[in-house]
Amino acid sequence: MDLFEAIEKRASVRAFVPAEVSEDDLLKIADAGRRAPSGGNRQPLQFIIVREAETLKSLARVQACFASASAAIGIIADPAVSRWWLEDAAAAAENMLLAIQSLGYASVWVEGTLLKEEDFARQVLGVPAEKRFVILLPVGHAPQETPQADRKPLADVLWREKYGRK
Amino acid sequence: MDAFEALTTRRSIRHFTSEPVPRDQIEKIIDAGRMAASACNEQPWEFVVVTDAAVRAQLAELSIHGKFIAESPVCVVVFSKTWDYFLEDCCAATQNLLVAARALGLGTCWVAGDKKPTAPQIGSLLGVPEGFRLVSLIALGHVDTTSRLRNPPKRALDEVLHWEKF
Repeated sequence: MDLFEAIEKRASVRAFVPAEVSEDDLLKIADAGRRAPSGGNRQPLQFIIVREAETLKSLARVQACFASASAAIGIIADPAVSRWWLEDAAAAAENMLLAIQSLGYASVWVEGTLLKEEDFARQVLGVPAEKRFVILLPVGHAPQETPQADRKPLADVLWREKYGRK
Repeated sequence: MDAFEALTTRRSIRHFTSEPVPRDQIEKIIDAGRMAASACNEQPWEFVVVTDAAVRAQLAELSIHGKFIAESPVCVVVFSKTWDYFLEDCCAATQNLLVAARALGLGTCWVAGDKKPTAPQIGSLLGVPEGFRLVSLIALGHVDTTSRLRNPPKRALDEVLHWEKF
């Protein structure tokens, strides 16, 4: 899929229909996350791919969407490695969302509800306490095509040379 | 360009030619940023596109690690309104800008903005009202292929990827 098509089609999907996501595709998605930029190239991130149904069911405590997802990819950051760990995690998440979209799957960025259940999620996936478990992305098949949420027009967010100048 | 090619071949570019970037390409790149994921679809971002050489020279100075902003024909400066997920959302948008530029054959380098002591000065230089936060500065332009490209190694996928458990 063309990159701009993936950018325009990416939408948040929170319920999935059962269908396989291949190991090869999951590796491609994680690879897109790994290749996102990181501050000072410190690369403070690790990724966990979850496919076991029992584990996905447990993760539904974080957000219901994981119960119907075919897989999930967690982003684990080490704040001891870089002060830009959150920026880096966000860049990797966006890269993986675009990768998921371009392979024909759907996802949603899960963060707020994960942070509330971070200790639980760490326990489920065996993540050490000193690491941050910041973002978890389901990977699944959308039941139908979902349009991207309404966007502010370009003219409302783009300024030329100075803020407020069109 | 195919999405995976853009997502996996983007690299930081710090040497640019003086050739200007056409306005429609700049708009296409910012449009990609506008379509990034944001928590609760908040879209907290504002993009200031700076081409003026004198202003870029000042940004190069103030950004500390972004000396090459004086040389790149464009600098996109990303600000956010105050919001719980301002950093994540605007970093996702920044990442979309980088991969969109790559897909158009242009080069970029992400310079961190948040946590920079000079962030308030950069905001006032660009006329940004109080209450907005600087997130990133993106040098943008045509790649100077006569310069030696740094290609710092990324950790291998199997070093950063875990299956089922950390």
